[in-house]
Amino acid sequence: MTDDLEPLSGDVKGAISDERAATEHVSPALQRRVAGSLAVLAASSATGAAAAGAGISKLVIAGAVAGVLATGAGGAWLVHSRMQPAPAPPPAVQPVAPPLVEPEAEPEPDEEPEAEAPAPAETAAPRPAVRKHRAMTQAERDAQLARENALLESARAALSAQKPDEALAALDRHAHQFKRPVLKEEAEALRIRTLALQGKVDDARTRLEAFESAHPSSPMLPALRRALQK
Amino acid sequence: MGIVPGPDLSQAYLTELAPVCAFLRRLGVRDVEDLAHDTFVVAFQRRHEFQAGRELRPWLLGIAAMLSRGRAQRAAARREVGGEAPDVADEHALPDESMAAAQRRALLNRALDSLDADQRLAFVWHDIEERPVAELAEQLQVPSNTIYSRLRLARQKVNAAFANILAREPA
Repeated sequence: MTDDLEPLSGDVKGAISDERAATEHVSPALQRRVAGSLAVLAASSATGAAAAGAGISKLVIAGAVAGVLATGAGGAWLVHSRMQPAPAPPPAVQPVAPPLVEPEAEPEPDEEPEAEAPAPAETAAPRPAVRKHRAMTQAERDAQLARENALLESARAALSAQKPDEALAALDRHAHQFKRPVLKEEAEALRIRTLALQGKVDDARTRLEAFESAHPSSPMLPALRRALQK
Repeated sequence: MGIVPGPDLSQAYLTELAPVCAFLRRLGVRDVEDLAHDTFVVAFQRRHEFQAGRELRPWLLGIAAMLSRGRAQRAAARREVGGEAPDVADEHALPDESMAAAQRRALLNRALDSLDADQRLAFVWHDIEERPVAELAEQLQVPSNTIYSRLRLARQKVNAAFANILAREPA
């Protein structure tokens, strides 16, 4: 197959050689940012996995995150991150599944967090957003990332343990608590895998089609397609 | 803390961050640092999918490639409705680099700009990163022939673009 490829000219080869030899300089700020995010994710994952099936303790997670942040590791988050409302308690009744994934939206300015008023579980209608924009602090981003990750980690652990109902419950808590989740794509991918494990193949395929439209380049698509081919 | 399966990214980033940044820069990504950061975050989220015994770097580069494609598609969509200007590759010389080498790399960058995103990815993956075509095909879930076709066009364009640039601006 490589035989019919046009050979590269000597000039191009020389430039490629220079390109390979060039040292890539990574800024200390980026190193700290990546290290901080990985530390926050690891801390919240450990807490989330431990809490799987037994409910999530916000205090425990907050403590884990505070410990990471106290190290000065710092962190930042995906460019699509936005401020979320304060977490509401887990719904007492069967939660309403979130809608199919929405098309990728452009980043919007962060929103002021809403007051600590738990939303009634029976009401699926979203609360009106407060349109006072302000930048989310790094600590807020990290805290939200950790809370989301802990929930998704518990869903992932339940999925690995072949407990789709528990996984779905964690995903519903995530959907309920975060109206504009940072980890939206990951949560939807887990939901599709959970539905497939439950044998709800048609539902899983429908959501996968919506996922493909919304995230055509998602790194998670190949694994999802494989999961539904089984 | 429980045992976390998958690669230990808290250590791996020390050696893999620079190659990921270089790869993204070669793809013509403007916000290299943001995408490099996101690559490691996504890798953490997907660490359970990493197959033990396989090389970490191509797995990370595959994630970076997918993220950059998504970003490019969104940027293209914005441009269609009169949004922001196209991405401009950074042609500044890296510290400690000779002027001649920097100029040759800048020429390469300009030649790469003549490629579309898919062709550029195929070229960077195979001809610069020296990774097998089949590996990229697996990452993108497309047939190897598709990657070869993109690579074939990319090589033709890069050779032609390089020759044109040198004809106009002899080194």
